[in-house]
Amino acid sequence: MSLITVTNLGKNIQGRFILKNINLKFEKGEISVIFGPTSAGKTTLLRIIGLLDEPTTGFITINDLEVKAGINNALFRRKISMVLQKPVVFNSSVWDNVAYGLRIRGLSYEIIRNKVGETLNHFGLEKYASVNARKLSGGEMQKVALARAMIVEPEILILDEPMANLDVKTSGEVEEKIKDYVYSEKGTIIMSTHDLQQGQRLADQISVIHNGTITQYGDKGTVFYHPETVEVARFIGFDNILTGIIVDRIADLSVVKISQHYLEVISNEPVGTEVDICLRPEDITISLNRPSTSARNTYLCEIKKVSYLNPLTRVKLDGNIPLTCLITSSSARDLQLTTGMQVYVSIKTTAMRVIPKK
Amino acid sequence: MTEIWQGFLKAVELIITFDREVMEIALRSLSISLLATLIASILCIPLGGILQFYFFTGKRALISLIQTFYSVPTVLVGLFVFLLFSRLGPLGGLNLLFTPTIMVLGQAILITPILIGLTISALSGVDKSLKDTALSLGATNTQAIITIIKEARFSIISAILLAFGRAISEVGCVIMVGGNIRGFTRVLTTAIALETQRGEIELSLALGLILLLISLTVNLLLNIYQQRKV
Repeated sequence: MSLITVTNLGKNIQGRFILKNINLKFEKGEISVIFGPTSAGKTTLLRIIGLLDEPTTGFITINDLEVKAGINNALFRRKISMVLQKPVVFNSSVWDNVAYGLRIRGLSYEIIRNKVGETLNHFGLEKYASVNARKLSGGEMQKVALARAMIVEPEILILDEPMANLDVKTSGEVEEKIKDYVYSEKGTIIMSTHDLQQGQRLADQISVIHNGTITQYGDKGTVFYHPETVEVARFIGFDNILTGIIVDRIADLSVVKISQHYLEVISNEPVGTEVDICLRPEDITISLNRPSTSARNTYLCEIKKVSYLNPLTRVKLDGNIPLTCLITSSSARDLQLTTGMQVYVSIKTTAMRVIPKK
Repeated sequence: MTEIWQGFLKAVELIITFDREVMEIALRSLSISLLATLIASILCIPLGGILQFYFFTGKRALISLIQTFYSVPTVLVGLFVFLLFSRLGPLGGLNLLFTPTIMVLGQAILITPILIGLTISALSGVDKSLKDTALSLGATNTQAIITIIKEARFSIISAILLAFGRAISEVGCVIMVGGNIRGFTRVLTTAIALETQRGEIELSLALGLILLLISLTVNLLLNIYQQRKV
């Protein structure tokens, strides 16, 4: 039994669909990341799961019980808390903000005082206890919002792009709090993000959402290394997407023709299938001389552009196959890469993900 | 001109010597209007909260209707209450006409639209995400409404002050239902109306000054709260 099951969920707003046919499961004690570009429907989906909005079609169950937004369902809502993307604080002190959830549950002042004190310390907010929360910076406000949601220890904590407005340092702190929450078995977290690395760092389960539908859903490894569609692949960092046709095949090793060039890939699709080959830029190696490696695919290319970004450098290549690759800046300097240079690129066959065109 | 000046000096004298009649009228005026504002606030603020919180068909039209009644003529409210409580009216048996009680009731009715309407305006100024946040932290609908009212507290206090200002300065309703009975239902506005007609300029001016003082205080508080809103 899954903690939350989302079945055939759809949402229309003014006749336009925002979400369509969403089927998902969320397991207890995991961090599930909903991953997708801006305006893919992440917030709408989270708001429905968080019982703030009602779906147009489909339903949600929690522990196999169907739940609905609206109608005085505080009993169920108290199992779920949601932190909105834009930091929201009440116009009162940080202390009062954090105490809110405990107060409305009618706990005694003793308990509230202890828990709030503890939580403020945990979040490093104790020095702001008596400050009006509206006077804080965006990052601090978001920490208050998170502390306020976590203090009531909801079974399910929903975070809508919790780090979207935070600087790197605060973002790292918040990530720690999120991991703590799940590892200390306080509850399950469902969060959305459009930040690839963040998704990779935090997720147990990943759902990729695109134009209101789930394009792939599974554990982190599966989604990150075996994207099922080109959209997912592009979104999770396979920057090179090459379209070609399988022209030959021996067992699982196939030859794909891309314009006038050939690539050896692992695929068991029949000859004649049109495929997209997805390749991460970091899986391409560059050398000045023809290398003698185990990599099956080695080509001569010309460098079109070198962009140094610490610690990695992005190199755009043109040859028979246009490619983007990512190498460490120190190796880019060692090789003295410049525009117009002729270099050899090697691609490991196993690094390429082949997706047949539908 | 000298007559007015003399009147003015006499008026100041009446005030600083705490003239019994002047003080009695002023206190009555204050207590009636404060009570009316209190009762109307207790009823109208939660009602405004409920109207703002829930969605229902005709909500927009209802709010427009309420706003139309902001400027309802005071004599019309007076007439309505008078007819309701006159000996032949449906509530005539209560024998409330020409008592302070009915004056409180009349003023409360008079300021009801302003209070509900301004409460709704104040609450609609509260970011919708605060309601979501309250609900999402486990608030019941009632708790969420209270939270939103608290968020809009400065605007709502302004609304209460405005309503009180309208109540204490109106004359039409209290004179019709209260009857301006000396020592019983005579308040600042009705006393000014009567005393001026009788040529008692000093008393009128003294009462007028007090009324002005109350209005100024209300406006001062209003300014303070409207600034704190931001």
